[in-house]
Amino acid sequence: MKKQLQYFIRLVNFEFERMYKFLLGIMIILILSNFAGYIIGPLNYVSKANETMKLESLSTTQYIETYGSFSLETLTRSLWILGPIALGIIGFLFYSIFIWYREWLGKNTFIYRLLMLPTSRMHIYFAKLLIIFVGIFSLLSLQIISLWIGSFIISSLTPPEFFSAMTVSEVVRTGIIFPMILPNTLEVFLGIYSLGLVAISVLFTIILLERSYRIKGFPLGIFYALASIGFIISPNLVSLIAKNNYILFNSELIIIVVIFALIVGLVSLLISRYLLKNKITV
Amino acid sequence: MLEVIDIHKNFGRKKVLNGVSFTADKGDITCLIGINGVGKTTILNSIMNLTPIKKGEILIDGQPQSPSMYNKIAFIPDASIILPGMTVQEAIDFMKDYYSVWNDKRAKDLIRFFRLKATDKIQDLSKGNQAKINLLVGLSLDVDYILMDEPFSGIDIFTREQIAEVFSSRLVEDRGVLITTHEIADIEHLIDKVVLLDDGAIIKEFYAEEMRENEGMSVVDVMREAFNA
Amino acid sequence: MDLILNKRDPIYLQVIHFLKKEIVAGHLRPGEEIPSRRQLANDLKINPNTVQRAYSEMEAENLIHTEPNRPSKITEDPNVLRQLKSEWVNHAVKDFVSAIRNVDISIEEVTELITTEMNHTKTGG
Repeated sequence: MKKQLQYFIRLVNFEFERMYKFLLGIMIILILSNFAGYIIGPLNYVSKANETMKLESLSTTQYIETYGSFSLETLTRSLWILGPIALGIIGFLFYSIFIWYREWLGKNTFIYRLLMLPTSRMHIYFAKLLIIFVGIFSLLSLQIISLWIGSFIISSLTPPEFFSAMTVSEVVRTGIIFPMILPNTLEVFLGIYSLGLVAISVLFTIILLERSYRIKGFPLGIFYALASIGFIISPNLVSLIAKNNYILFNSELIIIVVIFALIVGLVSLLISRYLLKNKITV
Repeated sequence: MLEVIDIHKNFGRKKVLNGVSFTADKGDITCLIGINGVGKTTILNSIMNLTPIKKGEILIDGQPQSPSMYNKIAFIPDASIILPGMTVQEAIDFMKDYYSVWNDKRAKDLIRFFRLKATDKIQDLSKGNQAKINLLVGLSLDVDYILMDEPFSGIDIFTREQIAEVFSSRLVEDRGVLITTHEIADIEHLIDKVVLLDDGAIIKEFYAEEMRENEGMSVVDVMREAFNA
Repeated sequence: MDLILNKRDPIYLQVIHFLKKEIVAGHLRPGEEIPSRRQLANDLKINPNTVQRAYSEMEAENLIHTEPNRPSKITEDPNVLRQLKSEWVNHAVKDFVSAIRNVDISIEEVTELITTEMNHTKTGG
């Protein structure tokens, strides 16, 4: 048991070393883009404000009333912040696919080595799954740290009369993307990330189906994914079918959706285990 | 003993293995020969549970396949199976991490024997040297059985000689070796048992030395007769 | 080791034949250690099991002796060696005689030819 855990930790570490450069790349882009935003954002705002004030002969107070003050939250609506987040999401979606296919890629078919490790093949699966979340959460933490540093940069670059101070946690609660990627209640946080986990487990199932049955496995995988999505959103249809919006409370609905998602996750896991054990082919 | 019992395998509609059965014993060098078509590699892959079979059974010392068998059988495929970015030493460290039967001393001996350098990056090595890395990684496991897929294909003559030397060395002593080849010349005098594969079926299974003694036939003579060439 | 193997005779017999020749010729002396089966297999590029078989047969004929955990040695028993030599020569003579049986030549002439040939070989031909 202890030995198996050791193998798993080594595999996770190994996957981390292979992801390292990719993660570092996105992190550097995030930092560069964020910091450019922290500097350019306030400067742009001030120059635009001055111009508009001159043109429309507005006072500072009038300008703020019409166009709003500048805060960290203003900046989080810009591409400087949203861009790297989108890149991170797309990047990790792509990486979730690449993390499997690269084992078969080219002349160096590392899949032989991985499948011949004297340990359950699910360890390989879980190591890959875990490392994707390690990557996502690393990016998320870096984003928070960056916002925190950014709040200082912005406050020192924006003239006080235009600046409205906001804490990072306020920003995260009100931005357009942050309530999605960093919900402020634990339940929603867990709900969203378990949905994410399930989504990746379904994606892994598609990949493993394709790797096991090759071209025939692909439509099978797509079918499985559609069925999974249908199953997960089916509780939403209850009120539609019953033509009664009050049959389920929203909170109940969310709980049922999450439970259904977890069922899909479990099924994906079982299918993947079966495929890895019995059907996968080098 | 490795037992392959009536295994079947299709690629799409095409039958690749059509009821293949044979055994490979510990202490023997068994050579799986087929002059045409696929099947040999598929058999080795099936033994290692790297590709599913449609029907049939594979037993390793009487046991069905399981992850623990990888501490009992090593497979040296005809493909580089170490990450190209790794150095020889990193590849060794990787193996050491996962296999309880890894023999570090033997790995060091093999580096010397193959005249490799621990600091060499795999991707910078010639094809012959990459094949040696595969051998090094496989042979450094203290396993009972070693499977090798076409160890001599596409490799220069000096590397061939070195690899042939492996078979008569302590490295394979008392182990069961199962190798595939379509070219027998390099190893005719090294092998104990020959298994001839044609059209997805075993057409003959014999001991080379017995064939010489009883029939006065070389391995190639038997092949010529069996394959009707 | 100067042994070129043919592909059709059992390899263990070829190895035995080769070692006997070396003994008869005096290249392997009584009591001398012979290569380990591993060594010989490596030198000849043959299977160690085959060398093992050859050694076992030679042990059965008392041509070599093996003490536990020691290299095998050529026998020092003069009787065994003498017998090997005479078998070897007998065999060669039989082959020779059957080869010239149909040739019109007298025994004296043959003896003379043999004497000349043997002197020639000895003086380094």
